[in-house]
Amino acid sequence: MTSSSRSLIRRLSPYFSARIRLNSRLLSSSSALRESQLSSSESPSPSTDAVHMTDNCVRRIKELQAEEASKKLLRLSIEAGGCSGFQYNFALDDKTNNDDRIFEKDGVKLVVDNISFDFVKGATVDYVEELIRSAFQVSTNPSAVGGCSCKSSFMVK
Amino acid sequence: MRKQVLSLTETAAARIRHLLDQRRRSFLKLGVKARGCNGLSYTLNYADEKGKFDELVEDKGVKILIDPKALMHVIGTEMDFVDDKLRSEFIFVNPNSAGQCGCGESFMTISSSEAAKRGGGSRT
Repeated sequence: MTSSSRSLIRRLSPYFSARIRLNSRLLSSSSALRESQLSSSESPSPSTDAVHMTDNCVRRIKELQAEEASKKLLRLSIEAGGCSGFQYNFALDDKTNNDDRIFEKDGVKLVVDNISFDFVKGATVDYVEELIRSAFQVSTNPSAVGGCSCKSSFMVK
Repeated sequence: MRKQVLSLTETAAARIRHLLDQRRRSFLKLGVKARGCNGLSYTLNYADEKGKFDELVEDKGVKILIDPKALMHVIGTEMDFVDDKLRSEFIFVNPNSAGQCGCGESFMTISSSEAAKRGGGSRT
């Protein structure tokens, strides 16, 4: 190998290796995306399209699961009512339905039915512990506008 | 015999006893604040000493202080404690309450609604 081609290779190799690294990153991220879409049913990757859980919420659900024989899921649903039009409803459920969206964190599942999901896209579920009450709460909901300050009732945009 | 300003259910008293023992505090103090969708909402804090104008209520072996600003709004209220898997909270059954928001946290009394009509100047 001539010295000029050797130095050429030396000059070009960082570009090649950077390109190879970029390509492999693209490949691995797109395959991860495909994998997540296949494995969990309708769990969207962009975070504005999911319902999130805080760590305290996950911890509380795990506590509740430890008390039950069957594996319980936390179900968030919307019902009409409250002082601002709609209100949140939390329940423990055993099974999911075909039209449910499932969000998983740390091994616990939050389930939202398809109709309710439109009202809680991007929301965060928290478990709030105060002297006067300890309860699940939707702490932020970008899909809602206004709403009562006790956070159980809200209006939609 | 003087009618109690505030009464407690057995469950509420047991829960309060547990909280005070756990934290080693002397009293729970009940107040109200203006917020929520319908006038007022209840506040609950620990307290170690009785303020000069606080109302002391003792029921079922448990001591509760009532903030003087809250007194008129909570006369005759029964304080209960509900505990199910999804929530555990103190609830207040208040005969003065003229309306309540869906979650029950916020309530309005006749006196507070009149105050609101007058222009909200005397809102506590």
